[in-house]
Amino acid sequence: MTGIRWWGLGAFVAIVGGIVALWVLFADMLVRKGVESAGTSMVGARVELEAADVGFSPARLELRGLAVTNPDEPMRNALEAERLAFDIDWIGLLLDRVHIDEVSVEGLQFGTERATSGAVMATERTVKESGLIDKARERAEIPPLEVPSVETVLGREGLRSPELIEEASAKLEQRRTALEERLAELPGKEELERYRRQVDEATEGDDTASRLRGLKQLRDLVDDIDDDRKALRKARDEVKESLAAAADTASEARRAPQADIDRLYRKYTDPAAVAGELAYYLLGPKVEQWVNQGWYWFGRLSPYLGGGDGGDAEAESGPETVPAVRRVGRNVIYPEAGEEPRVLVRQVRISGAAGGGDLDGRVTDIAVPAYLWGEPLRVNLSGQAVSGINRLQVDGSMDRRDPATSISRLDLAADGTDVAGLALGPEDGILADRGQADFRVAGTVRDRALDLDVTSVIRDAAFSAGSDADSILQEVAAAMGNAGRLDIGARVGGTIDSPDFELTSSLTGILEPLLRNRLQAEAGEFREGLVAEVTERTGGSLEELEASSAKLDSLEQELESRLEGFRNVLERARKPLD
Amino acid sequence: MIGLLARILKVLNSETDPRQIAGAIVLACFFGLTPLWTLHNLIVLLLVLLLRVNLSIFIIAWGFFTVLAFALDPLFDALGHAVLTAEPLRPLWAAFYATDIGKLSAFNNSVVMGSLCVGIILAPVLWFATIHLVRNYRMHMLEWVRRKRIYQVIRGSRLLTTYQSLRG
Repeated sequence: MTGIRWWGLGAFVAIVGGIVALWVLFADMLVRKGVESAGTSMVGARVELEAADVGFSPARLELRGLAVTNPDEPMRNALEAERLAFDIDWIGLLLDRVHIDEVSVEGLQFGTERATSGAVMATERTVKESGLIDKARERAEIPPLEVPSVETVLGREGLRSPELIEEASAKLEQRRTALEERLAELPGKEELERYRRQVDEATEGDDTASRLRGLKQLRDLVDDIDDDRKALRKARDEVKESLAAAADTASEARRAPQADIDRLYRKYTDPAAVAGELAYYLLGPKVEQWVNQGWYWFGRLSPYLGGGDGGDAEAESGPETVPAVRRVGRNVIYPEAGEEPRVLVRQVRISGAAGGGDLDGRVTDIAVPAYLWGEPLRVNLSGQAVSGINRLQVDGSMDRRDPATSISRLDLAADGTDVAGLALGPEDGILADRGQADFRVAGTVRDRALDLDVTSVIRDAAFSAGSDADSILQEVAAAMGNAGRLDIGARVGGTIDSPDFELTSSLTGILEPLLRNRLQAEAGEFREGLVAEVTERTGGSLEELEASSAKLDSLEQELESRLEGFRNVLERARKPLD
Repeated sequence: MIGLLARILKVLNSETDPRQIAGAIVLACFFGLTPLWTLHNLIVLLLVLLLRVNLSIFIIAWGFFTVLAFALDPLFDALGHAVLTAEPLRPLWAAFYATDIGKLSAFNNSVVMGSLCVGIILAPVLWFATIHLVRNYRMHMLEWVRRKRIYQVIRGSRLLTTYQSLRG
């Protein structure tokens, strides 16, 4: 090397200075694009920002006109904020560390309409994949308001009894085969005949020597016969147990046709059951949609609020590996180095709702990863006349300080919501003409266990069917015309992987009188037809079941008769010894 | 392509010190193999500009190593992760990680560490191999290459003439 190139130092300063100058010049645009891109990826639908203003002295960022599309309704924003502002720590940003003391959010609105769709390529897919419960779509057929024909019912509903009877028959056959194999291994007629011959031979002798020899032979024979008899007795006890189990299986199968008849009869003729089905048909999709929307946001935002798995398995015993931010590869984190959260927002202060309402509240201690921060995330919001809700109160927390025992709590009350235009049913066939609703969502998600209650009361409710709704919906809508008060409740339990969903509503009571007279008049005839049809469909397989059962019984008799033969020959062999 | 070849030949056939060529290749190896926006690359850039390494060779070699890095990323990731999680080195990494300069260097990224390790292993090899090859080339092959028709074509091509005129 021949030396130093001093102009190179100038070039280096110029290059670095140029990069910094470009960043300063385009910082606003880069931040705006960054927020839109990262937000869209977080939400799964378009996030837009009118403007970003990056201040360098003091270091401060101001975002204006933030609009976050609702992925479930791309023509509507989930939320809009007029202004967000917070101080920035530039050194922290260079170190991949976002620590903010306070974010101020102003002019928040929910559910505003959009001029253009905010769907992106992945929106539909992400919404479908995020559904926690999906039972209403499985039951999307409207229940009839009169008793249908037996043929229609059996065409629509599967009978469980034929399958149960066939399963039972197969089980009995399996047992029979196993028992036959067992019997083949046991001493049978041939052994019995041999013992009889040997007893005869041992008792034939006339002289003393022959008798003594015979007595010795008989002693040995008694032992052999007794052993075989014991083996047979043991086998008989086992067979009895097996037969008792087989009898249970058979009797359960025999009861199956009647259970099918009772189930279908109740489902199609009991006014309360039919009204319950109808209420589920109308309310199920809407309530599931509410739950799924909440779940969607919980799932989408959870990783950015300190959720996630918190690293790989190495975290327990060694360094933790996390996906790298803004880079390829993975970042290894060393807990013993006194790790701080990568993201820490001490407080988000929300004030002043847009559109004449009033919203006030705060979100505190947003930390990622959450286990590196001593406080759980807390949300507290209260508002009046916000986005059509008369009174809004939200209290929640997300405690992931210990990833093994994470718990999220929510208590949301939205009172005085105008529900005019609320559509019920999978096809939105019935519309609310008027009504004021009070909603309340309360519950916890502890690890993967769900415990959520959704309750709502719609007061002064009136409904009508759309002009293109079918006749059944027209009748239902007429019954609901002046429903007055309508209570709807849903309970979500179980686990995230296998949730339980239970819907309750006073709609059942409203619809029941409509159904009672219509259903009861035809119930008797329906039952007779159902009995005849189910009997015909299951008769053949029941006969097979009885035949299999009888064969099993015959095996027991066979075993008893062998045992009797061995008992007799044993008595004969013992008599001379006595 | 002809321009590229011409630039390489021009440097090889000139009086440029082989160490300037070797230095350019070694620094390009770090600059190209490791992710671009890292603290150590700022130092590499400073060295490239400050030390009298050959800039043409640096730029060509940087392009080559950048393409190579794309193909070797999975290897860098695996190697870097193994180095970063190796139990004997853990106290060292943890101490470095506790410093701001450590975090800023992004050494704890598996690809950064993996590519840096490969760069460190390759650096002495590239340094000595390049010096040796350039010297041998000039001693044994330079005259032969100059006589080759392809060299005459490249030397006489318009592209090279334009390039040389631009370079002054």
